Amino acid sequence: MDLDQRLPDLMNRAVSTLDPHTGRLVAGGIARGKTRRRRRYVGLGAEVVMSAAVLAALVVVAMQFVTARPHGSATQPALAPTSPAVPPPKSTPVRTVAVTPQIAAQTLIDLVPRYLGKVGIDKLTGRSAPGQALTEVVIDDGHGAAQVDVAFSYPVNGQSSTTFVCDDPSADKSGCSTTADGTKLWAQQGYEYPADPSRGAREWSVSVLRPNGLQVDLSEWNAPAEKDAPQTRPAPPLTIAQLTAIATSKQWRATVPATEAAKASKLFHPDPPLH
Amino acid sequence: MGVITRGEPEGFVEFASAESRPLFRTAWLLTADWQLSEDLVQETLGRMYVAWPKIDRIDNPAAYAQTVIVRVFLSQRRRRMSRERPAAELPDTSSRDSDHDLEMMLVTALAKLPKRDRVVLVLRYLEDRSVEQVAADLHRSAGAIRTQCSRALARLRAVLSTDALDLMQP
Repeated sequence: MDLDQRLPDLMNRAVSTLDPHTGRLVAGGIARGKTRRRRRYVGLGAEVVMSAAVLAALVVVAMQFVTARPHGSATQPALAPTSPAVPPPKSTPVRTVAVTPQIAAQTLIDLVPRYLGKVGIDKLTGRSAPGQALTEVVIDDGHGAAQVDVAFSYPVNGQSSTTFVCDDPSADKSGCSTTADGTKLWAQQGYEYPADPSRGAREWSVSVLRPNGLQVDLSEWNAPAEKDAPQTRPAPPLTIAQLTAIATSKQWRATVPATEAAKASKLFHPDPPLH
Repeated sequence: MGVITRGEPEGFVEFASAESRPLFRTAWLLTADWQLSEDLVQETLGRMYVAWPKIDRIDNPAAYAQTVIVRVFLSQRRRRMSRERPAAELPDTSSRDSDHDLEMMLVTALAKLPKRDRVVLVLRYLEDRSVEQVAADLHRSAGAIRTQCSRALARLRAVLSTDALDLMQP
């Protein structure tokens, strides 16, 4: 019998006894889909390098903050008023705008030094999407450059996205929990390539979904890029507890004063928004 | 260990659960490597996850996923040639007869073929796709696929041992 006549049967029999771990495949597929979607939103190719002046200003801000807040402290500072508590006149309400990628980046830059101390900012980029502000930052705390991504989502027309895989067997650790106020937490310590961890960087992630629909997705790597970059350190810079503290900060807001957005807009020029 | 999913796009988990095994089988014949097969399936499901909001535009999502996996395989192999490490043997199986030997020889022989040969043979003979379908999947002409299929069969015949060819005789 010719080979081509036997091949269909041979091939089918050669694979008929295979018994892959479908749970791991599904969980890994979903995890990669989420990463791919986030990466597509943020736009890896469009790196925006900050000017030296902006970088210097950020470092100064970070250093000032470190002076005021001990390294490793996980508590949120009370927002002290900078002027006497006089209510603004009703005729001049504060104009607010939807959170921007630059605001998301600024929020991350404000929060990270609380846990890592002084950090350098190597790269900043970001873009917006319906109901989302996305940013990608490469930081260096002196122990190796590392990429940190944020996807901040807020409900649009009453809809919010919730995509948690609570038990991913391809990761070292993963899990979900819910706090007393109804906030859902998801955390995972895994790899860029779960099926072959030796091929790429470690990826640690946390997602926080608040009852009001606001969601913060934070991911970090032990390399300055998700893929095709050498690992610069044994592990990503922030612990899961620190990532969680950052993600649960009340500084993540769906709307911000227009003046604040205008100030943050100088950080970088965002990639075109996604629709 | 089960997978607990909440809030995933409607129908995706069911689709991925149903198709992960067929996808893995395709991946296994393409790579002959368990770990690479898992990687390939997860990457394919990841791409399907991203495409899922528009899945109703695709006539046959299962067939589409099979097309995606061969395209991912072709693109990944270009990056990973230096890391190729075909498996020395098949996973454990209960059958140890001549048929099993032949199946093992087939997988080992496939792993020695150029990647496009493997893809064409798998799509034609495992997936039972027509020449025209394979041509559309790989963005090539039907004539080119016929030629490649013929050459791939000849190469496979050359790679398979005499013992294997003998085992195929009725």
